[in-house]
Amino acid sequence: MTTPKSPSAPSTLDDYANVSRLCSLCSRMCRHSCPTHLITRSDACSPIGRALIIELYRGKKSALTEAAVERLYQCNLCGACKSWCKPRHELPHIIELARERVVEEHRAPMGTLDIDKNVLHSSNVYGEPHNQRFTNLHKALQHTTPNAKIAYYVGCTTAYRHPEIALATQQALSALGLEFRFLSEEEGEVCCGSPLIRAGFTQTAKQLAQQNVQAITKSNVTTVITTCPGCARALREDYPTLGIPLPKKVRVFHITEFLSRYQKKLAPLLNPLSPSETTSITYHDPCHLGRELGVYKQPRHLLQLVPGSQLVEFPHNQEYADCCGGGGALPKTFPTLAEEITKRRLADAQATSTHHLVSACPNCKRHFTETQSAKGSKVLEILDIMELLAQSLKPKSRKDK
Amino acid sequence: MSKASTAFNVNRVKRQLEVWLGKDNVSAAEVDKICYSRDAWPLRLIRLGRLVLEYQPDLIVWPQTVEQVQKIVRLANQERIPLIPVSGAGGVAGGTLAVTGGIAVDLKKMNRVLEFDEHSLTVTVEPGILGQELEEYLEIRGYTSGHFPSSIFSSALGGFAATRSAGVLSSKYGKIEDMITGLEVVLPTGDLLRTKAVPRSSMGPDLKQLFIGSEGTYGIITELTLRVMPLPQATKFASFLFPDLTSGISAVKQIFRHDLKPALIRLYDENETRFVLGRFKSPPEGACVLNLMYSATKPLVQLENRMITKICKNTGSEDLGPGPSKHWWENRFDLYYPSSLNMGPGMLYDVLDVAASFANLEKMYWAMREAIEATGVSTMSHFSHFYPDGGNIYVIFIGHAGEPEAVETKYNEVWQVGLEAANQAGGTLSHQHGVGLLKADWMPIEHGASGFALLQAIKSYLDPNNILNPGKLGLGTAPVKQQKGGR
Ligand SMILES: Cc1cc2nc3c(=O)[nH]c(=O)nc-3n(C[C@H](O)[C@H](O)[C@H](O)COP(=O)(O)OP(=O)(O)OC[C@H]3O[C@@H](n4cnc5c(N)ncnc54)[C@H](O)[C@@H]3O)c2cc1C
Ligand code: SF4
Repeated sequence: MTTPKSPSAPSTLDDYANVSRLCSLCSRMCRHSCPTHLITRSDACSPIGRALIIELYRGKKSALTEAAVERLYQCNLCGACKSWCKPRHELPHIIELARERVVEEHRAPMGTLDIDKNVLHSSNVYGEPHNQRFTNLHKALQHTTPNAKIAYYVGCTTAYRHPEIALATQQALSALGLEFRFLSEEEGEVCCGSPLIRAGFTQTAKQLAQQNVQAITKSNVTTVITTCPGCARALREDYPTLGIPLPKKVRVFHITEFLSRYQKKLAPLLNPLSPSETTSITYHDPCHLGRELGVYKQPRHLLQLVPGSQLVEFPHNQEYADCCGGGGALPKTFPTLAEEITKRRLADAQATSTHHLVSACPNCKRHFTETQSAKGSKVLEILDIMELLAQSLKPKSRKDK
Repeated sequence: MSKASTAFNVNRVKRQLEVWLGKDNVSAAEVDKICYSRDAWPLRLIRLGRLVLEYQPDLIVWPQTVEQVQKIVRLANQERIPLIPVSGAGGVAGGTLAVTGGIAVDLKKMNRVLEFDEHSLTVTVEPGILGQELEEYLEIRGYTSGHFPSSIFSSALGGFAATRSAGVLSSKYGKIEDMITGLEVVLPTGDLLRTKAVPRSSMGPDLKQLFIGSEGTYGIITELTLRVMPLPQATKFASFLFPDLTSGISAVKQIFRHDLKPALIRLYDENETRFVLGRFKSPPEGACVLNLMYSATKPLVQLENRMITKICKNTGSEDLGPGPSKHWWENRFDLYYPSSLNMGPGMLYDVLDVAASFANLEKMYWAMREAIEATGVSTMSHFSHFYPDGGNIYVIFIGHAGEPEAVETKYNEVWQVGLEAANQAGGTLSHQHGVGLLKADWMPIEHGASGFALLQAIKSYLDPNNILNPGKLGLGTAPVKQQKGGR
């Protein structure tokens, strides 16, 4: 029995009663995959524990106490449990629905209230001025085409924290001769709402969805690309679930899905990263891109286009990949737990003897780089896939000057 | 012996433990206690499915070193506080349920590999490393523990040892007691006992075997050294369909008499054969399938395959090729996921895991099946661990009884008649799942009056204040409140 997840009908906790009940009685078949359990080693901080807490709440045996809220918000919603679940229970989604109740009962943790406040105030999760969303991207802006049919939806983390990913993306798109535009006008893109959906703030997320859908509709594009898997998932999957879908003619792609259609054209434009030796690259599957959108092959194919690249896999990869630690608002709510999860993944990357740790998500990059530099050592070159591709572009194909 | 009790000052003890272990490693939160009030004992899950709240510890602690475990034990001994060791909490007999409250000592933060000795082919680990975590550690290095119980995801090494568990490849690799070469145990007084990690010794009785299977009543296992093996070079699957159980068992006997030890050897009764063959074949009435996996060096795999195929064919079986066995191996965990079928309201299910010599094995099977089915539930069974002298039976039962009280009455009735039949047929009442609360009352029957008195005397000697896992194995039972539905 799979979880009923109908895109048209927004669901409630009680719609999933049978699933949360069964998970609460499970013989712990997925607990070993839960990164938060593997750090806390507590049976309450595990998929099964969270399902039991939800059942106790539903059955009015226990209120949403401080500890209950903590256990629910300690989940980083990475979805690893789903990969180990034969009946494919959508427990992370049920946890999101439980968090909605927490928010309704005004019990949401401080860290998530900050996100909600920031977004309501300045349309981005960081609380930065909205009118500076594209300030860091002025170089890339010069290469945009006003009426292009492709819109590059940038997202908060790329815009405010990792603009280099957007610049690299512009280089790749320009090298391929693809015209694109940003949604940078006054009533353009705002936060996609993903962090709010994940944290239980559905009402705020709906407002954002409405603004983004309007901006995209007005721009008259047919394709939206994004370098952030969380944004891609929100626009493509969450908005219809919230009842605010994009116009039918608009298709949303993560950049790796989009570029994989241009492999033949891209390959001859790429140089080896190191003239003399092969470059080993370990690819980290972002949770939203892999388990949620099912994109595993495309980024690997793109990386293999780089001459001299050698792809090394994590022992836990693709469907079974471990989270970077940045999911589910965890860095805001339980920073130490998030950091421990990141450290584990970094240690696993190092054990693969790689030069480059590459992801396809600005949040993964952020958590990997911040944790590595906090440790004071720069062992791994941590890059977004778009940066690696841009580095590999032959000078004459680069149109960034 | 009823000295440990729940009447302790939880707040004071909590504060002291927080000083020793850190705040994050001690919890008295209601939801945490409820999450620790269950293992994978089906009766407890049936009751939890109705949100029956029971068996909660007063505190949960996560020690990270053996010294911390010793401090906890000394404090508990001084203050007469029950301690419940917890590893994976994937036991199926109620072994980690806090019958009289107390402190659940979750060992999962002691999860390090302390030493991997490639010369001796041994690995030394802490008790909280999950089966899967250890297997992944070894596999990357080209080795395996060979211990593959179906609880490899949910259970940890301490629990494997404490319950005398058996993996599905046990005929080749042995059971946990064959694998462990050395143990470290914190005794109920807080003292440390270490047995030398050596291949064998004749310096008196083997002390480590006293703790293997003691289910946390004699001591807390804090370190284990185990044998490992290089990953097998080759693997091959085979399945044979026998006209009946007798011919299947006869083939298995022949296999062992020819000194052959295939890694996997599972014989299914007619009911489970229908289930296992599913999409492969519709078997004739009474037919029993034997699933095999050969896993060794290439020449040995070829030899096992040739000789066993010959034995099976001579015993009147049909060669079904590798399909059913391979399919089982690749989907072997399916049965263990929760489903509305067995966990729906009004349902009851569990497994009786017994063993007997070949002289009694088939007789025991029929006696148990008859007795259990007479209660109105359905059964299907397999024989999944064999020895030259006999094997186990894994009797799965499932039924519907409607009202909650009726479910529990029926559940207890099935166990009563099933174990009585096994006992009368000369079998042991558990091959691998252990005792916990579920079979506690059967301990005097299994061991006889003198045997059980000896086990109790050992308990009194080691744990005069009865602090360690009171009530489990039927030892130190006095303070146990008889919980409704529990045996
Ligand atoms: C899905 C599933 C499949 C299973 N398949 C098998 C199988 O194939 N073979 C098999 O043998 N069993 C099987 N079992 C039963 C179970 O997994 C075993 O009994 C297992 O050994 C229990 O280990 P655990 O870590 O979960 O122990 P727990 O449940 O944590 O503890 C079990 C008992 O051991 C005690 N204990 C735990 N750790 C320690 C320690 N460090 N020191 C002292 N005492 C301790 C506890 O107090 C308790 O009494 C299965 C169970 C499940 C849920
Ligand atoms: S998600 Fe699947 S494996 Fe995990 S607790 Fe639920 S039923 Fe068990």
